[in-house]
Amino acid sequence: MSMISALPFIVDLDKESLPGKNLEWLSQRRLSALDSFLELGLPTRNWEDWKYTRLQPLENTTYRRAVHSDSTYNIDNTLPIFSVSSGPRLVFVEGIFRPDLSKLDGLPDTVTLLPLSEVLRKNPNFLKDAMAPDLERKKPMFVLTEALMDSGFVFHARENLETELLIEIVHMGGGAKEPVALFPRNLIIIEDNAKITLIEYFKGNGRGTYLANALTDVKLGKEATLKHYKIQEEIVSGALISSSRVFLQERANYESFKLGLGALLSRDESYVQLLGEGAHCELRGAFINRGSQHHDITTCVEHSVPGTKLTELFKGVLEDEARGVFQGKIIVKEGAQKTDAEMTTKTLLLSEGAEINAKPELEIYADDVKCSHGAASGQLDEAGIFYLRSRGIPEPLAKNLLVQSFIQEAIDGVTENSVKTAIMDRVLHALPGNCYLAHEWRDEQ
Amino acid sequence: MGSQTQTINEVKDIIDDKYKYGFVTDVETEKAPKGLNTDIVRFISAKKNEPEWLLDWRLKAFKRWLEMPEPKWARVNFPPIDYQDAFYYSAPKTMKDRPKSLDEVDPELLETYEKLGIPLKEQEVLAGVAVDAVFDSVSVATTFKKKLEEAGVIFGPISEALERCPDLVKKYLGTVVPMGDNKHACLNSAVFTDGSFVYIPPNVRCPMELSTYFRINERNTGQFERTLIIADQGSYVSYLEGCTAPMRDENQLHAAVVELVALDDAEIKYSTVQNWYPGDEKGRGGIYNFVTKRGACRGRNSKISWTQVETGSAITWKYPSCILQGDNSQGEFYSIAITNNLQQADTGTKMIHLGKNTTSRIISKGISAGQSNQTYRGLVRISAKAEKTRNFTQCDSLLIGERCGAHTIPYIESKSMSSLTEHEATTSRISEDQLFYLRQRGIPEEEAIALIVNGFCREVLQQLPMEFAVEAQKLVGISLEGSVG
Repeated sequence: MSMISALPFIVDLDKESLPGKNLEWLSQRRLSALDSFLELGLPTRNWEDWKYTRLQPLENTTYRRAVHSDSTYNIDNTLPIFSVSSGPRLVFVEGIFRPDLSKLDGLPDTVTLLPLSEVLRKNPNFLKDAMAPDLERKKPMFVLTEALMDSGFVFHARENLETELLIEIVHMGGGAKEPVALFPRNLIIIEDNAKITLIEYFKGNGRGTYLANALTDVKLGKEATLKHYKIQEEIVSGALISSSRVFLQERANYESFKLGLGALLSRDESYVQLLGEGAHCELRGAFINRGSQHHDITTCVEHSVPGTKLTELFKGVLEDEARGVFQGKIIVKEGAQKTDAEMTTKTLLLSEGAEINAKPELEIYADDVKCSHGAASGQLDEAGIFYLRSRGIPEPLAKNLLVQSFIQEAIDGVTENSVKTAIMDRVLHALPGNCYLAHEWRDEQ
Repeated sequence: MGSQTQTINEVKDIIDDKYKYGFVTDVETEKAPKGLNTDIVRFISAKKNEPEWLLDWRLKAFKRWLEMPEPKWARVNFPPIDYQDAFYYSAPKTMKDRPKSLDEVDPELLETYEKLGIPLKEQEVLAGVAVDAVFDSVSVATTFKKKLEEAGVIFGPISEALERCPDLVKKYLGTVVPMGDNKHACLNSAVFTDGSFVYIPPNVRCPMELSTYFRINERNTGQFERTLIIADQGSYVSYLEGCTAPMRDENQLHAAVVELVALDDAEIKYSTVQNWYPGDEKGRGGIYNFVTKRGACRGRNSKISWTQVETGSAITWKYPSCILQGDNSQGEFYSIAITNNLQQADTGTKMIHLGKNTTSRIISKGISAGQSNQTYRGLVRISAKAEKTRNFTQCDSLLIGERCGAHTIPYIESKSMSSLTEHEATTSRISEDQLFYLRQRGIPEEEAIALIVNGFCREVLQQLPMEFAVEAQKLVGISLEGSVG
C-alpha cells in the first residue's frame, strides 16, 4: 500500500473540483507541491522528526474527499459548541463550511473571517501575496496540504484592532460513513498593534474514520497580540495532523494553549520564528490520552534576533496503552543575544502499558543567553494519595485531584479567564478512571 | 584557591600556546603496508600469533565493515576519511623480542614517558599505580604484575591475555559492543592491534587503581585499541585512562572500543582524561576520536561508573553507555567536555534500563569557547519490564565567546509507569554578577574565569580519582587558554 492507494484522488488532481481551480498560480503551486510529496513519500521512523510517530497505518485506509452531502446530520443540538461565548464563529463540518451554523455578524469592520474557498473566489490576490512563498519542501505533510488544500479559513485583523470578542473556529468531523480526508489550509494574519483572541475547536462527532492534515500560517505584525487556543476532543477514530508556522515581528506576543483529549493519532507541529526584537512566545498545552491513542507534540522555536523570549510548558497524562511524544527544539541563532527561553515537559504515566518519548533539544549559537529545558516522567505520588486518603477522600477522587493539580500548572498560563474555565471544565470530565468529581463527592456527604 | 592559582600559572606557562605534549619520539617502527584489505587483517592477526577463531572474527568484521554506512547523524563535519591512506599496524622495532624488564626498554621510549609524567619507575610505588603503557599499538612494559597476580587480577595487553586466558577473552569479547554495532567499532573489531584486558576474580577488590596510557605516535597510524574489563561477582576495580598525543598536521583516526562487564555485586569505575592534540587555532590537524565505550551491568546489584574529561581531539564522537540488565544495578556518567578554537565534540551517554530497580545518573558539563561546537547527545530508555527505575540527568553548557555553539539532544523513552525520569538542561554564559563579585575582591579576570569554570565542573571533577583530579584541573585551565578576557 502507498499513499496513492490511500488517497486515490491525488492521481488526477487537476480533475478534482478543488477551490480556486480557475487560478493558474494556484494550480501551479498545487502541482509542484504534489511533486514534492510524491518524491518524499510519507515520513518513516528513520526520519529524525518522525522517530516516535508512525503514519504508515494511514495507508491501510482508502480515503475520499469530503463532499457536501456528507454533512447532513443534525448538529444543532451540540450548539453552542464551546460555550465560551456567543461571539462570531465559523463552523466546518467534515471540512465543509456551514453558513447555517456559523455566525459572522458582529465582527468589527477591520476583521476578515472567511472560509478559504470564499477568499479564493472574492479576493484571490490577497491569498497569493499572503501565502508564504518559501514552502518547506522537505516536509511531506506540509506539501501534501499545499497540494490538496480543500478547506480552511482566513482570519485577518487589521492594524490597531482591539476587541474583547472571542472568535471561534469550529471543526467537526467523524460523521461520514466512509473514510474522509481533509486538507485545511489556514491563514491567520494579525497586523501591527492588533490584539485578538482566537479559539479553534475540534470535535469528533460519531465514529467515522477521517484524516485531517492542516497547515496554518500565523503572522503577527509589530506589537500585535494573538491568544490562540486549540481544544480537541472526542475524536474517536480520527487522525489529526496539524502543522503551524508562526512568524513574530518586533514585540509581538503569541500566547497559545493546546488541549488534546485524544484522537486515534494526533500530531501537532509548531514552527515558530521570532523575527523581531522583543518578540514573546508562549506555548503551552496539556493532553490526556487513553486506549491506544497516540499524541505527538512537536515544536521548534527559532530565535533569530536579540532579546526574544519563549516560555514552553506541556503536561501529559497517559492511561492504558496510550503513547505520548514530545519533541521540542529551541534554536538560538548567531547574534540572537539576550534570548530567554525555557521549555518544560512533564508526563504522568497512569498504566503499565503507557509510554512517553521525549526529546527536548537545545541548539545554541550565541553566548549571552539563558536557555533551559526540563523533562520528567513518572507516576502519581503515592505519598500524596495516602495523605488525601488519610483525610477520608476516596482513592479515585484523590487520584483525580492530583492529576488535576498536575495539569492545572499548564492551564494557569491561559490569560483569557472564560477560556481557562472552559478548558478546566473539559479536563475535569476527561480525567482518568471515569471516577466522580469533587463536587459530586461533596454533594454525597 | 591554591589549585586555582596553579591553573592560572599553568596557563601562563604555556602562554605561547604550544601544545605541551607535542613532541615526536623518533623510534624505528615496523609497519604493515599502507591500506586496508583482508591481507592487512591477516597480517595483524599473524603478527599477534592469534588463534584461528579470532582471525575469523576479524575477517567477518572486516567484511561487514565494507558494507556498513558511515554514521552521519552526529553534529560534526569533516571530509570523508580515506581509510586506504593509513597504516593499520606499527610496532616499535625493539619490541620484536619483548623486554624482560624496564632496563631492556628503549631508553628513548622511557624518556617519552618521563616527559608525559608516567610514573614508570620508583614513582609507581609511590603513586601506587600499575601502568600498562601502550606506545603506538603494542604494550611496552607492564609493571606491578606481581602484586596484581597475588590478588588473582589479570591485567595486561589483550594480546597477552589471548595466550594466558583465551577462554575468558573468547567468552566476553564483542558481547557488549557487537562487531556490527557501528562502522567505527566494526573497523576496530577487524584491525584492533592492542589494548588492555582486565579480569577481577570474585570477591576481590583490586589492590590498586589500574592505569593505561595510550599514545598515538607514528605518523598516519590510526590507533585501534580494544579494552575489555570483566569484574566478576562481588569485585571492584577502578580503571584510569589518560591520553596525550604528539603534534600533527594530518588528521589521525582513533577508533577504540571499550567493553565493560560487571557481574553480580561487582563495580567498575572507569575514568578518562583525554587531551589529544586538538588541531591548531585554524582547525588544522588534530585527532578524530571515534570511540565506542559501553558497559553491561549483567549481574544483580552491579554498578558501572564512567567519568570523562574530554578536552582534546579535533573531533570527538563518544558515548560511554550502560546497559542495566541486572536488577538493582546502577549506571553513572560524569562528563566534562571542553572545546576551543574549531574543535567539534558530539558526546553523551546511553542508559538502557532493562532490570528492575535500576538507577542511572547523568551529569554532563560542556564548555564551548572560540568557534567550537559541542553537542550533548543522550538516551535514557526504560523498558516496560524495568519497574521502579530511576534516572536523573543534568546537562549544563557554558558558552564563552559569541561564535561558539552548544547543543543538547536528549532522548527520553519511558515505558514503565513506576519509573521516574528527570532531565534538566541549562545553557548560559559566565554570569556577569559572579565575575563582578570576584573582580571587586581583587581577583584578576582570567583567574576569576578559571575559578568560575572550575566551580561549574566541580561535580564531575570530584568524581575523578586523585591522580587525575590534579591533571584535570590543570587541563580545564589550559584548554580555555586564549578564549577569555
